[in-house]
Formats: sequence, structure tokens, C-alpha cells
Amino acid sequence: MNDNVLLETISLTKRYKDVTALKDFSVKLKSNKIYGLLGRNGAGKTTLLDTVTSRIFPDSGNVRIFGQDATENQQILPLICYMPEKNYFIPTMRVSDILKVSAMFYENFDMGYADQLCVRFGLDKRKKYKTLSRGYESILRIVIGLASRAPLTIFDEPVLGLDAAVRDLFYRELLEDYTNNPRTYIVSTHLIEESADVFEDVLIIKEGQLITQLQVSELKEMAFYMSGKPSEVDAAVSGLNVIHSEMVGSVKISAVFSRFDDGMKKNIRAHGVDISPIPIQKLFIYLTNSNREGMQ
Amino acid sequence: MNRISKCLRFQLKNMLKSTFWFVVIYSLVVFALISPVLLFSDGAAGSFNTSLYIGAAFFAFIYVISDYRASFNYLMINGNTRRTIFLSTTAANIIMSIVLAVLSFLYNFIDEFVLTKLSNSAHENTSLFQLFYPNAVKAMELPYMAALFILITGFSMLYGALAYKFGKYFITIFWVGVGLMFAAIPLSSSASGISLLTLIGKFLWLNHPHGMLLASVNFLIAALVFNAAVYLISSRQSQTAPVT
Amino acid sequence: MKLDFSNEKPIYLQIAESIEDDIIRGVIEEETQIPSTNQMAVIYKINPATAGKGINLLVDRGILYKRRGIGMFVAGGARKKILEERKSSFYSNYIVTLLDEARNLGIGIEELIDMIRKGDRSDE
Repeated sequence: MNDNVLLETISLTKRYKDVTALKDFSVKLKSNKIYGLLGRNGAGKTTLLDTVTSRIFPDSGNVRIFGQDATENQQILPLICYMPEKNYFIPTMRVSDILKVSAMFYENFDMGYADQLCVRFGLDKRKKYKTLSRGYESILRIVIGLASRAPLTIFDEPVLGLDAAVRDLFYRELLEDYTNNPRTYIVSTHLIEESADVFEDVLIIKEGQLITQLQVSELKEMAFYMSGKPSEVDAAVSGLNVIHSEMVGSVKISAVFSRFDDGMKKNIRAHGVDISPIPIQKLFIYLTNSNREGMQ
Repeated sequence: MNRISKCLRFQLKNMLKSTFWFVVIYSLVVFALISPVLLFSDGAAGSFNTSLYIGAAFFAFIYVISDYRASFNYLMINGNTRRTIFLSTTAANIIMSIVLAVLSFLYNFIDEFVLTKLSNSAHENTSLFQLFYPNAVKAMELPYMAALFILITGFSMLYGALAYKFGKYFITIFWVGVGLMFAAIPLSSSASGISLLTLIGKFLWLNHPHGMLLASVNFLIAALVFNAAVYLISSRQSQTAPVT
Repeated sequence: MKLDFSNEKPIYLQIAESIEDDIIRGVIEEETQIPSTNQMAVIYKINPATAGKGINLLVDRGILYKRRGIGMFVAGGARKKILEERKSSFYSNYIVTLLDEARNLGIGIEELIDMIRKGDRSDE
């Protein structure tokens, strides 16, 4: 049946007082892919990851991982390495001890690789956790996540507090290890522009719901600005999914998110409407805006 | 089982390290206090009691409470279920209780050794047990204290679980409640025949020929109840942020 | 090969075109091996599946082929094939655009042809 489905959530719902953090969230993830989980602050990314890894319980719905019900499942949890945004390490432990404990609990943990990563990222193993700066806290989580070689590895905002050079190093290390030792990754981030091409598929979550699950390359081929005379633009975008619209002087610019072929594009250009790609950061903003803003 | 033993390995390492330091510091403090007495008295001391028991009881109480949140969070982040963590923590508590009971028991012999040296004659110590229990047998002290420590650590674990769940609300209410209870003791003894102290006395089977054995059983039953409560509370516990 | 992440063209198309460019220029010769998708992923910081998509495009068009257990190789006759394909799309990619822009600027056909001749001469 679902030979390749690694993780599946079925109608996950989670409410906190008067906020619905997850609403009927259903998704299927395949194995050995790098997934990007994108969403605004408060969209439900962390709630989703916490639910999927059994840190919190949903109000309704199921999570199935590796073909089994994942909630409080001691068979499954050791196969998932979840590095959350919050720190759950014990402050008085040294980095080397934390790594040793991780090695004990994660069967595939590669201590040699962890040591290499510590060197590459400049993490001093003798330091106590409480003495680490915020950046190095993130680096520790990166080291553990990568070295765990857990079949499902999840990072929630892995590059918080890291400068551009270190973030770059993270993406390179992630890709290098992924190509040599494939596994399933879920990376939740708000830094879309720089990380989008590292992902194979992205999931966009908005107000607790899944609004898109697509290959990054497909996503980019669907997002275009159409600009020109208002009447021409309106004609060009009729029947298409317009996600944003604005007037710049007397020029109308509409952002469209639909499937295209070259023929359609040629046709539109022939009518004097300019087509240009929407940068993925902007696309993300339009897709996750609340409906009052930016829609025709 | 494998997973539980891994958690246990982690928890025991911390527990034994802390216990070691507790014993070392306690010994240093006690002998530092006692040495002048030893040196300057001339064997007139009638009894000598380092009573590691009492210090160990406080240590066990405080240790389990202060360790609960951090260990629970850390073990969870390493892919362990709440059930696994509960079982491992319970096992660690039991082991620590036995270790503390054995250490306290061994301390008795140190006491007697010191006493013998002081009074230059074989002298038996009057222990608290002999005060409260007729026919107190030395050999019963060990299981009694072990059972008592199991009760204390079980209670502390329950405190820890409730503090994790309810946070400051619970902690405030708890200590206010304890304060009220202490205030109530003098009041209740003058009231009806049944007072708080009488109840405690009954629970401890004081002045009963088989008191120590029966009290030990009581301790274990109460510990079981506390642990069951912890299981119920923690099995549906959401992971909350660590206290900074 | 340099990837332009801000470009309209999807990364996988840029990869495909870039390999074709290298084949035309003779930088990659026929029957030689090209880097694997994994290698490309690490060098360009992109997901290997994206690199794979570009490669597959070229395989479908007969520009590349797979030698089992070894990797991707440039097919014999690939250069010729690419040149032919590009020639036929030269018209739609360049000529049409050129004519559109000329029309926008009000440059007539004769003027346009003169410009082309001028440009040709200045190269000599």
C-alpha cells in the first residue's frame, strides 16, 4: 500500500484555550527526502512537530510513523531525533557528556562524525552547557541532529543566532551527509530565501492548516508577477489563482500562483503584460497572509 | 527493558554522584563539629550519634524534587516515553533509598567505634529506634530505613510531578498547607482524642512489638500509592519549557 | 557553472542549460562523465533531487545517458544535437524578442537589418 510513506498525520487538531493551533492537519511524508516546514510565527509549526514527536497530545487525530501509531511508542521514538527550538539540556552537563548520552539513546549515533562537526563548527566539547552562547546552543543541536543519523531527523529553527557563514556551513553539512547517508529530514525555518533550494519539498502551514505541499522547483514555476495596464493584467489573470495585487502608479501588478506552460506565458506577453518571477520570500508572504490583505 | 536500563544508567550516575558528595560533605561537617567535643571531653560522652539517617532523609527529599523536571525533560528529548521515564525514575529512587539506608546503617558502626574509643569500654548506642520501638532489633533498622526512604522519594516524585504540571500554584499551595499543618498540631492535640501526632504514631506502629516490620509495610504501601499517582499524572503530561 | 538563485529560471533548468553550454564549448567532451547529483548538491548547496531533475531532462532528450554503476555520461553526438535544438529555438528565444523590442522602440525592419550588419562588421 503505502510502501514509501514514512510519516502520516491524520486530521490532527490541537486547541489551546481559544486558539486552534492545529486544524485538521493531514499530511503524508515520504522517506529519504529533505522537507522544509515553512510558516509564520504562531502558524503551528512547533505545535505540529511537538505533536508528531509525542511531546504533546493532540485533541484529536493520529500520527503514524514507520507504519505504527507514534504516540508514546517506545519502539518508534528512538528512531526520531527531534532538536526543538527550546533548550532541554541539563545546564551543568558538559558538551562531551551530552554527546555521550545522545550516543547512548540514538543507536545510529556516529561519535566520530560528531567530533568532526564540533571541530568544523568550533564547538568546544569541554564547555558546560550553561556557558554556551545562543549560537553555540544552536550548533550543539545541529551536531546532535546530524550525528544521530536517526532515520527521521527534525530540526525546529536550527540556525537561530547563527551568522551567515555558519548557516551556510550548516546547509552544506546537511546536504553532504544527506547525500552520503540518506534519511528523512524535516527542517522548520523562517529563513526561506536561503534554505529553499536545500529542500526537496516544502510544506507551508498557515493558521494551523496545511496550505501547500509541493516540490520547491514546482513552487517556483507557479509563481509569477504579471504587470502592465490594469485591463490587460486582469484579462491575463482571469481563471488563475491571484494571491496578491497592487497598483504602482498606473501600472497594475498581480501576483499569480498557478500552473503554467510556456504557451500560456507567450500568450500573456504578447498582450503587453510583463511576466517576472516572484522571489520565494515574497511568495511565502502572499500565501500566508490572512485573507483580508492583498487579495483581489 | 533496554530503554529503561539506559535511562536508569543516566539517572543513577547523577544520583550516586550526588549521594557521594552528600555523604562526604555531611561527614566532614559532622566530624568537624564533633572533633572539638571528642578532643576536649574525656570520655564522659554517654552516647554518640551522627544520625546519617536524618540527613539522608532530607537529601533524598530535596534531590528527587530538584532533579525531576530537568531529568524528565532531558530524557524525553532523547526519545523516551513517559512510561519508560517513570519506571526508570522509580527504579532509581528505590536503588538510591537502599544505598542511603545501607550507608546510614554502616554509619552506626562508625558511631559505635567512636563511642568505644571515647569511653574506653564497649558501649552500645541508644538509637532512636530503641526509644520508639520496644524490642527494636538492629537488623530491622536497614529494611525500615530503606522502606522509609522509598516512601520519601515516592512522595518527592509526586511533588515533582505536581510541580511540573501546576508550577508555582502547586508549590505555593503545598508549602502553605505544610505551614498550616504544623500550626494545627498543637491545636489538635488539645481537641479530641485523635490528633495529627496520634495518627502519625499509629502509622508508624510506635510502641508495638512488631512495629518496625509493620511500619515498613505501611511505608511501602504508601509509596505504591504515591507512585501510582505519579504515573497517572505524568502519563498525559505535555512537555513544558524548562525553568530558566 | 554558476547558479543564479534569484533568476526566473528554475534551478534544475539552469543546471541543464549550464551542462549544455559546457558541452557546446567543449569544456565537457562527449563520452566523458559529469559530476553526480550528489556532488552537484554539495557544491552548489542544492537538494540532489533538484540536480537530478535537471539531469533527467537531459537524459530524456538524449544528451546524457547512464552507465550502470558508474554514473552519467555525455552521449555521442550530443553537441550536434544541442546545437540543432538551440538553433531551432533561437528564432523564438531571440528573434521574436528582438522584433518585439524593436517594434516598441519604433525601429523599422530596414533600420534593424542595418544595425545587425553594423554589429557584424565591428567584430571583424
